[in-house]
Amino acid sequence: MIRYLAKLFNALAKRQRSPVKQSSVTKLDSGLTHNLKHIMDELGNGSDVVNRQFLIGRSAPVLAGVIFIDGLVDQEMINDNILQPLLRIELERPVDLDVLEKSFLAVGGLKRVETMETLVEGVLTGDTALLIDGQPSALLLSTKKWEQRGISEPDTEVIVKGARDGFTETLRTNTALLRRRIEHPALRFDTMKIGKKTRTEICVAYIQGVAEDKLVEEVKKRLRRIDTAGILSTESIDQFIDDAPFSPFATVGYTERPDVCAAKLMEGRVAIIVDGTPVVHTVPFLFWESFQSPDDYNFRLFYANTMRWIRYLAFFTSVLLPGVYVALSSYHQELIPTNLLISMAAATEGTPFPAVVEALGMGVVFEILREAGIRLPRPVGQAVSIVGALVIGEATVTAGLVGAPVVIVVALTAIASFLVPSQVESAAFLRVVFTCLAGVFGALGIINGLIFVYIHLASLRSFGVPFLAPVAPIVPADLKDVAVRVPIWMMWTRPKSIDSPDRIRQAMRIRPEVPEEGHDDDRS
Amino acid sequence: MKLEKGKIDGRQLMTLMAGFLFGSAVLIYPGQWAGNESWIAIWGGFVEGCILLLVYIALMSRFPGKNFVEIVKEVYGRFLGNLVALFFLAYLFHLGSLVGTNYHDFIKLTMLVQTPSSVILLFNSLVIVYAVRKGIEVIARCSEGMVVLLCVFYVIIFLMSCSQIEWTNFLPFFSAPLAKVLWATQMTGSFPYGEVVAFLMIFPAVNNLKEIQKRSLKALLLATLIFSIGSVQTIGVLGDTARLYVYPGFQSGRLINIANVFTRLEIVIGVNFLLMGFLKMSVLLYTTVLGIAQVFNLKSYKPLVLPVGFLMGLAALINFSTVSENIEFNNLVYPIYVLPFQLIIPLITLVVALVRKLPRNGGDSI
Repeated sequence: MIRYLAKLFNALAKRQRSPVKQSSVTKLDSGLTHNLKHIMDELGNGSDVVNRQFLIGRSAPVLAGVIFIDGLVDQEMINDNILQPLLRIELERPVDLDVLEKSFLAVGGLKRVETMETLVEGVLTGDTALLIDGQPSALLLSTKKWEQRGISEPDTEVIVKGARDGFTETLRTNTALLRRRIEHPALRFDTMKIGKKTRTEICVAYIQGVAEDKLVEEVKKRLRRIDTAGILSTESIDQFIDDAPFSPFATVGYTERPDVCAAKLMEGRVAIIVDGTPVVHTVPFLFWESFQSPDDYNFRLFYANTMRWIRYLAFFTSVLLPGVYVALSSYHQELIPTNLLISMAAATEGTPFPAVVEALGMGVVFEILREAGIRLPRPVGQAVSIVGALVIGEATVTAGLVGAPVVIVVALTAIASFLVPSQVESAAFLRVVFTCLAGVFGALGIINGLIFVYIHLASLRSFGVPFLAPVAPIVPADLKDVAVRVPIWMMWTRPKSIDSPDRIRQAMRIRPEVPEEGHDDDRS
Repeated sequence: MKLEKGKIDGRQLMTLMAGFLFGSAVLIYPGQWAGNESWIAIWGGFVEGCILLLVYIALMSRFPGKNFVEIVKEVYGRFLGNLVALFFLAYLFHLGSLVGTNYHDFIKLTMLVQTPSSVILLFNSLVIVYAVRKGIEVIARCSEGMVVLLCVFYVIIFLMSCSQIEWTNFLPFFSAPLAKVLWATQMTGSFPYGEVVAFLMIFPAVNNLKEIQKRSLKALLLATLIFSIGSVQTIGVLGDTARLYVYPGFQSGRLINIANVFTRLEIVIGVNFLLMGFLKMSVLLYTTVLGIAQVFNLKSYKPLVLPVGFLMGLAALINFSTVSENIEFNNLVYPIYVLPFQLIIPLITLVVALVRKLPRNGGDSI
C-alpha cells in the first residue's frame, strides 16, 4: 500500500517536473505601432503604464516611443535626460538606435534588447523602453527610482556601541551598504531571479577568495532549485534552502545590520539578499553565532566575555528553568536547601494543580501576553502589559490558583529568553518539551532530553559545516570566539570550521605596544 | 561494501573510548571490592587493559580498514567466521543490556522509586536508538563535549569533598591478601578495561589509523586517572563504610557540604553516570547492529537499530531480579565470563592470522 502510494507520488512529481520550460520567445517587430500595441497588451493596458510617442530629427523625422511604468521610474530623469535630448536632435540623416546608443542619451545604464520578453521584464523592473519605427530592437534605459524607506536603525538588533544603519527593503541600497563597508573588488554580488510571478531579485553576496567556491556553488544550486510562484520574504527563501527543515533550530542565520553581515562575509560566509526584505540571510550558520552580539566586539574584553557567558546562562535558563523547577519540586525535594523548601512549600500550599500544570499553564499565558504585546499598536500594548503583570500575575497568586514560585520562574524564564533573540523560537518550543519531560521523569527526563537535543544538534549541518562546531566536534582554534572572546588582535585566523581558502585574517603579533618609559624625555 | 561512511578523528576516538570506559564505572568504581586498596586494583587493571588493547591493535593493524566481523570472516572462512562473529556480538549485546540494568537499577534506587523499570528503559532506549541511527560520527562528536564536562565535574567534586577526606582511611597499606587484590585486578581488567574489545568494530572508522594506538592508550590513562580520583574520594570520605553502599561514589558526593550552599551534590555524579551510560550503551548498540548487518550482508544497519535497541532494553529488564544479584554476578562471575570474548577469541584470531599468514595481499600493515 505504502509502496503503491510512493510510486504514485513519484509519478506525480515526475509529471510536474517533465514539461520542459519552453519560454516562448517573441522577436520585436520593425513596426513601432505594432510593437507598442503588443507591449501594451502584454502589460494589460494598466493605468500605471505610460506610453509616449514622438518624432526625432528635423529633416527626416522618425517616429519613436517610450514606455515606462509610473511610480517605478524617475520622471525627472526621463524628461531631462531622455526626452529633451531626443526632441532636440538636429541631424541630417535619419536617426537609428546605433546612433542613440552612442550619443544623445544621458543615461547611465543602457541595454539593447531584441525580444519582447526581456523588454517587458525590463519595463516591469523600472526601466524605460525606447523604440524606434523601422527597427526590430529597442533600448532599455535604466531609470529606476521608487519611494523607499530611509536607512534606519533596525529595531530587532539594537546595540549600544557601533553603527546605527540597517538594511532596507531595496536590494540596491543593501548591496551599496555592503560595498561601503568592504571596498574590495573581490566582493561579489551574483544576482538571480526567483519566483515565476514575483520575479524576485535575489543576490548572493560573498568575497571571492575568502568564501569557499564550493560553498558559493552550493548556495546557488539550492537557490536555483526553488521553483515557485512567489518569494515575498527572505524567510520563505530560508525555508527552501534549510538543511534541516524539521528541526526546531534554524540552520540559516539572519541579520538586519550591514556591519554584522560584512563581518560574516569577512569570515568566509555567504549572504543572501532578497529584494523586498530588510533581512539578510547568512550561511553557514552555526549554533554559537546566536550568542555573538556585535557589541561583544565593541566593549572592553572582560565585560564582553561576562556578557557572552551571561547569554549562555540565559539561554539555558530560558530552556530549562521551568523544567528544573518542576523536577525539583515534584521529584527531588531533598535537593532543595531546607529553608528554601519550607518557604516554597508555604507558598504553594493550597494551590489546586501540580507543579507541571502550573508551569505549563503560566508559560502559555506568558506566550499569549507576548504575542499580544507585539501585534497590538503601542498604546494598547501597554494596557496588555498592565493586565498581564497585575491582573494575571498578582491576582492568580492572591486567589491561590497558582503558587508564587511558579510565577517567579515563568517571569525569569521569559526575561532570560530575550537575551538571545535568534534562539527565541527554538527556546520556546524546547521549554515546553522539557517541562513535560520533567513532569513525567523528573531529573532523568531533563538529562535524557538534553542528551537528545545534544545528539540532534551534533547531527545537524549547515551547508556542510557541523552546526555545533567548534564544540562538537571540538575545533580548538575556533574556541577563541565561542568559549571566550579573545582580544581582536589575537583573532588572526578566520574560523577553521567555515573552511575559508584564505585562513589568515590579519598579521600576528599586532598587539598594541606602548613605547617604554623615558621616551618622553626625547621630546624636550 | 562499507556500511558506515562516517569518519571520526583520533581525538574523537580518545574521548569516545574514555567515555565508554567511564560508562557504568563512574558509579560502580572498578576495584571497589578490594576495599581501601582499590587504587592498586585500578592500576593493575590499567596494565591488564593496556596489554589487551595492544593485542586488539595488533589484530586490527594486520587488517587495516576492517572491523572484527570482517576480520573473523577472513580468518576463519565464511561459516565459522560468522559463527564466531555472532558469538562475539552476543557478548556485546549482553554487555549493553548489563549497562542498561545498572542504569535502571540506579534510577530506581535513587531517583524514580515508583516509576516502572520498563518505562525508564523504554525512554532510555529511545534516546540511544536515536543516537545510533545518526551514526558513529555523531556519537563521537557528542562524546567530546561530554567527556570534557565529566572530567571538569569530577575534579570539582573531588576538590569540594577534600575537606571530608580522612587520610587515615588509606591505612594500612597492602593489608589485603594477595589473592583478593589479584581477583580485584582481574575484575577491573574485565570491567571496564577489557570491554574496549567493542572498539574492534569502531577502529576502521578512524580516519588516521596510525593514531589509534596512541589515542587509545591515552584514553585508558585518562579513565584510570579519573577512577583514581574517584576511588581516593570514596575511600577517603567513607572509609570502611564504603562497602555498605551499593553506590559508594554517589554516597560520598552526598556528604559534600560547603557553607550550607553546596550540599547534596550527588546529583552531579548521577548526571555523570547518565551521560556516560548513554555513551556506552550507544557504542554497544551501534557495534551490535553494525556487526549483525555485516554477518547477514545487509545493505544498511539502520533498520536493525530500533528492534535491537528495544531488545537490549528488554534484556536489561530481565537480566537480574535484584540489585544484589547483579552485584554478585559482577563480583564472582563476570571476570571469568568475559575471558573468551575479551582475551581468547581476539588472541586466537591473531594467532590463526599469523599462522595462516593473513591477509594474503601482502598485508600493508601499519
